[in-house]
Amino acid sequence: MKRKIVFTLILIFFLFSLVYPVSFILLQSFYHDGKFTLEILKIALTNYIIRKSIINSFLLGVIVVLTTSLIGIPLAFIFDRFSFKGKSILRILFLLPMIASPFVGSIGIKQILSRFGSLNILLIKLGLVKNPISWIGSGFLGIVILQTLHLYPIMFLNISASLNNYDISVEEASYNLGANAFQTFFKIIFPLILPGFFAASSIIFIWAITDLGTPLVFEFNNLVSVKIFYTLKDINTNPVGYALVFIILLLTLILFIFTKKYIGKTPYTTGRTQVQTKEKNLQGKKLFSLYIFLFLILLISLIPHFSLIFYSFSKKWFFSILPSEYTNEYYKIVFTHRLTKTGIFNSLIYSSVSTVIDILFGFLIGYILCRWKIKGKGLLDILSMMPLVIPGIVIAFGYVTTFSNTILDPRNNPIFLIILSYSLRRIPYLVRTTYSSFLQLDQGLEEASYSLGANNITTFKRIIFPLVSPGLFAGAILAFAFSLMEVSCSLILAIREKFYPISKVIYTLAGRVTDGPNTACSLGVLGMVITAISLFISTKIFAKKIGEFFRIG
Amino acid sequence: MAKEILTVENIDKSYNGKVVLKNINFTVYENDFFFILGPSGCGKTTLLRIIAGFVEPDRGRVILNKKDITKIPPNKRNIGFVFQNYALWPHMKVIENIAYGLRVKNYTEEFIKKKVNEIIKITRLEGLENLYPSQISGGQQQRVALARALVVNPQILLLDEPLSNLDAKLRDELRREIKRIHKETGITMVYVTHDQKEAMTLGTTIGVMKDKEIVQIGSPYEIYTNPIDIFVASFIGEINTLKGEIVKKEQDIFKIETEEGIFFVKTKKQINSENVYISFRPESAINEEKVNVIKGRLHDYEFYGDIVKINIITQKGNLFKIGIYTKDFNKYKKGENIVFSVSEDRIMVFEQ
Amino acid sequence: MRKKIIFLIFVVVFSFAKGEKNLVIISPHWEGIKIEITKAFCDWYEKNYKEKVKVEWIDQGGTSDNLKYVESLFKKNPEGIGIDLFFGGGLSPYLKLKSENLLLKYKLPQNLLKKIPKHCAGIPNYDEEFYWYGVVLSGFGILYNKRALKFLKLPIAKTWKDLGNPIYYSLIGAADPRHSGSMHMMYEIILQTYGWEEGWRTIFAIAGNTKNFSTSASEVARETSIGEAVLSLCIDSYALAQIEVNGKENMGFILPEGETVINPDCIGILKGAPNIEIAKKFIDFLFTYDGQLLWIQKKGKKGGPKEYSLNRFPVMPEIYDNPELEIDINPYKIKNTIKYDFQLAAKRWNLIDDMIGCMIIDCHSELKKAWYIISKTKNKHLKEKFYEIPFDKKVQRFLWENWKDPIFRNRYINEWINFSLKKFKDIIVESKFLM
Repeated sequence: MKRKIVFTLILIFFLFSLVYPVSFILLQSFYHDGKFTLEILKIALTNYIIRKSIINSFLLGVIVVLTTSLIGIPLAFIFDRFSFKGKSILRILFLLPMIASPFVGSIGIKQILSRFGSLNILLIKLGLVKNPISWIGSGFLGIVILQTLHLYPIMFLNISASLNNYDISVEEASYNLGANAFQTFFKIIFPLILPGFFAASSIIFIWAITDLGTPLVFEFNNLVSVKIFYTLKDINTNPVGYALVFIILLLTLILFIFTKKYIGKTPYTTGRTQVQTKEKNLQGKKLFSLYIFLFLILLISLIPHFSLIFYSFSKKWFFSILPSEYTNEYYKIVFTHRLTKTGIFNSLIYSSVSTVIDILFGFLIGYILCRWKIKGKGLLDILSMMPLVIPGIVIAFGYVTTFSNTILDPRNNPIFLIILSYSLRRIPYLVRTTYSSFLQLDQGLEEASYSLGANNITTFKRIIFPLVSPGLFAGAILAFAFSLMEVSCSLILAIREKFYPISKVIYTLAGRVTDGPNTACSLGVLGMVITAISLFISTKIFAKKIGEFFRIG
Repeated sequence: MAKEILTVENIDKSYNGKVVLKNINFTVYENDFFFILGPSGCGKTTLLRIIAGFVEPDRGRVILNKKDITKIPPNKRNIGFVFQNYALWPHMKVIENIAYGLRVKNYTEEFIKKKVNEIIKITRLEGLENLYPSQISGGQQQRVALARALVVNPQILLLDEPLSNLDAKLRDELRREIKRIHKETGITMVYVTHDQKEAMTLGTTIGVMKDKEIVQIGSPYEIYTNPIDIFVASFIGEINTLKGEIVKKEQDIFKIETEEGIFFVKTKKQINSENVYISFRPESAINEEKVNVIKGRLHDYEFYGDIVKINIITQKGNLFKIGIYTKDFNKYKKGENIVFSVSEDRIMVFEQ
Repeated sequence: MRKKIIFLIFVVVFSFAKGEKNLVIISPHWEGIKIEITKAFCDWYEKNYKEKVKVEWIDQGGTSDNLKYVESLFKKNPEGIGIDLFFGGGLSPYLKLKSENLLLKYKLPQNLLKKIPKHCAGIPNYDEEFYWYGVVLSGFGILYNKRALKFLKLPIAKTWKDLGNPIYYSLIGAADPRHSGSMHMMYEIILQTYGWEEGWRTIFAIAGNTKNFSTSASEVARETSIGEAVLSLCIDSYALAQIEVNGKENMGFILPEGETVINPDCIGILKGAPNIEIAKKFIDFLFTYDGQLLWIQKKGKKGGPKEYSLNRFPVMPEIYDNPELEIDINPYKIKNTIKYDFQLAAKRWNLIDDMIGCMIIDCHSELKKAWYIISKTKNKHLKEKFYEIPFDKKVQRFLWENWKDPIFRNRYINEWINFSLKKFKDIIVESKFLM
């Protein structure tokens, strides 16, 4: 009975925070003036600029999947096949690009890539080019670069996991039967890493097309995500936004189902014996060139972060490779300025409250999924993983439209909805960590406690919680850090300044004249440091399993 | 008459329509070392978990010290449980693991210290108190598990295949250890295993389980010498078996015709069918030509140290195993024809 | 446990929302203005009325975004939208808001009103019926990166037309008028300076040279300072701010002679304002001497802002007599302005936005390609085709009068996009035959 109440409460949470807003969007896309219509969708698909935006978004997704593959797959193979000094440190370093969202990174990188930015000045000084090259162009290229540098670790992690799943003997068997390296790759290795590749690709694709912050900073407006952002302003007079969100939703769901089915069908794990190792020792020139290659990739992928740091300290950065004068004034501003102070305070409140909610729900759901036998468990499983699939921009859009003119209207006070969106979006992390902790936790450990006379509460306090808490802690830190730097929901839901979280403050400052961008960068660096520390702690606790956070299904 | 500690009555249990336990009944008396013996998958672990209260039966009752505890949660039963994989808490030291059961009952620290030291002595864990489970060996972990279960003075101790994760030598050692602890503490134990050797050497009573049911309960001797059916007979030790047909019965002597000729069997058992199996254990045959003769060629032998089991193949192609002492082995040569006989009261009869 | 948490959330939520009376202002003004004005107003209010007051700012991006947002809210809540004041964004939004009956009338106390001239350079400083007031005056011009121009060996553009010179291909910075009100003003000024036909030709040519259209005017100014754009359409305050940061030797700003206007940046009370009395006091404050001096005095100076120089020109002529000021421009003394028809500008505001949006920005990549070809081939026929507009000047009145009807509007929008796309693609195809 008690179980049913708890279970129902959790279902109500998802119903309210996820199912209802999403259904509302679907309804609005097809109902107009009280009857079913395809008109709104038709307008969206026939309007030239919207069609162009859809095509651009699609292209962006595909290109970023390709570019991340080009970096991520070779990296994964290098880490799988060779052993070299500093490998474990490098493995963590290659996760570093994830510490700053491309949105924050793009503020700094403009200083590098612009027509008279660092890169062109350097090339001109080296005499490599005569006239400056337009790197940013329309902004599309800039978005591709930033997203690639941010997202390739996801590809890297997923492919690494796939490679880790099978034993070298399956390759040896292929060679043994007379296949050459080429055949072995396409007939054996490729199919084995394919599920990992699909999983990573769908995350990267969805991430790329729903990223709102980066295109906003590069001012490339012909993308679905940006169109959604702008249509929200006159959603009462122009319902095309609903159709756009519907299209995004449809695309993500198709990908999700496809990935889930594909991966579900092919449980390719051959299990690795501990005796054999794929790793080869490299020496001399080969080792040297490997290091050069790795460091080069690392260096390039950290350019946005370095530029952000430099920009945050620059007093004057005009027509030079690096700033000509430095100052730490902007860091002082970050802690004294009204807007930044409110932003930091708000974000801390939003993130910690939502993390507490996440811990509670994540723990409960993880426990229920692992230990209870109750009807509707499958539904709960799907619901709790859904926020991983449904983009933030869809959730935020849903909240604004669904709850406008109610007591929860974000135009009056968005706190509840921001916290709700933050916690909803990070619940899968916590569910996943607690679930896997519970799976590893032998049920006998609990039963042993009961058999010695301990009641539920004591057993929870003394046995279950201490054993599950490292996983819970790691997940919570990660959830907190990601919430702190969350972009889409923050940009859309926070309309009044006094409710701005960090991301929206950064966005606002970046668009401000004079010292705004520098202050935005300092705030970005601050966020970056917090995320890096959190990621580091979580990685320490979770070791290689960190990759699990970035997989669907 | 010893005091009844635990009675299990008419227990049924099924999971998702699949029957796991069917009408289980038995009683365990004070100081008993009761064994539930059966092949894997026969439901014996589920039975133990029902007694402990981790699983609720569909039907039937569990009675402990004359009290029906079927509906009582596991933490209120005061039943000790030793898990197959020990279930030691990895985040607690050995001493914390052991003291846990006392701590949750809010005993004074002084009392806890005394009790823990006592049990550490009994289980010979001195010096390991401040180590974590991952830092000690499998055998030591098993002792900690035992100590943890025993320290709270349970009314009864349940052990779920506690030795199955250990290697042969450690297993022997710990078997003796458990026997000693049983003697020293006098606690009533219910022990689940698939290893008949364990049951025979340790048990005071054995309940043999076959396919969801308990088929026979008795002392090791009873079960060995007078098994209820051919399953129990073969599960508890090696047997030679022949198919036969009862041709005549005079008082308690049966005349049974088999491929290998006529056998006479003396038993008080009620046999209701003409078609039967006759069985005898390897050590029951003697090297003489009397009644119930088996003639054949010495085909092969297995050397066990104190005894040798020789394989005899008869002209009809049946194989018999005969146990002889090693000291007598030099009488025989491979390939030679030899003759054995089994006295009529050492042959068992089972309905087909 | 759960109850406690939910309770906690509510405590947090409501502690934020406790019933303070805040003045709510929607404005595209940049952060510095908001901070300085808030500080000065709150002090002034407390001193004069012995009461504390808080100011809250809302911003949806640019003037046009704010306007859309307000209109969209009024559509759902016709009685009031919980916002007190609409502030900044030039003059035209106020004409639009007034025509839609979304503003409240408020007459300044006579002692304040008498100090503000009715006009500056032919444009009214406040509404005759007291629905809106111009607070500061804006000049529209060209911001340029001196170093970049020198490096590229290019001259400074002196007129709007100069910006259409193909030597500046892909070097011009401009923004989307659908998002930025000040940018809209630039295009309107160009149209009124040169007239309908010549005006559009100039806008098309500038668009051909534009690297890509930004969303906000401030971003255009910033991009000019990092050289992504070398010359850009810019409002005086942003330009002065960039020059202050990067130095006079590196950046410059000019007002095209005889081709620009001085435009008031206004304020008005919105219908259903929840704090109407404070809103009136806020306007009063803006027209006190101190409230006006704040806009132009450098930071740290007497009567000036504390942290940020605002670099705006006050509407009160008295200010310019202050000997402590370090500026040499007096908008009331600028002679060479055009005669700007602000009524016309307000009427066709949305029409011009959509024309530039559809015919230029939404097909900008095609437009740029066509422009590049034309500047290379110098073919007269193609150039004429490039400037084509799908309707006659005379029709514009008919168009703007019906522009509120969404079906009417959408029909034309789609038509124009298709027309423009075809036009630019044709140019690209035809040029291949010429080569």
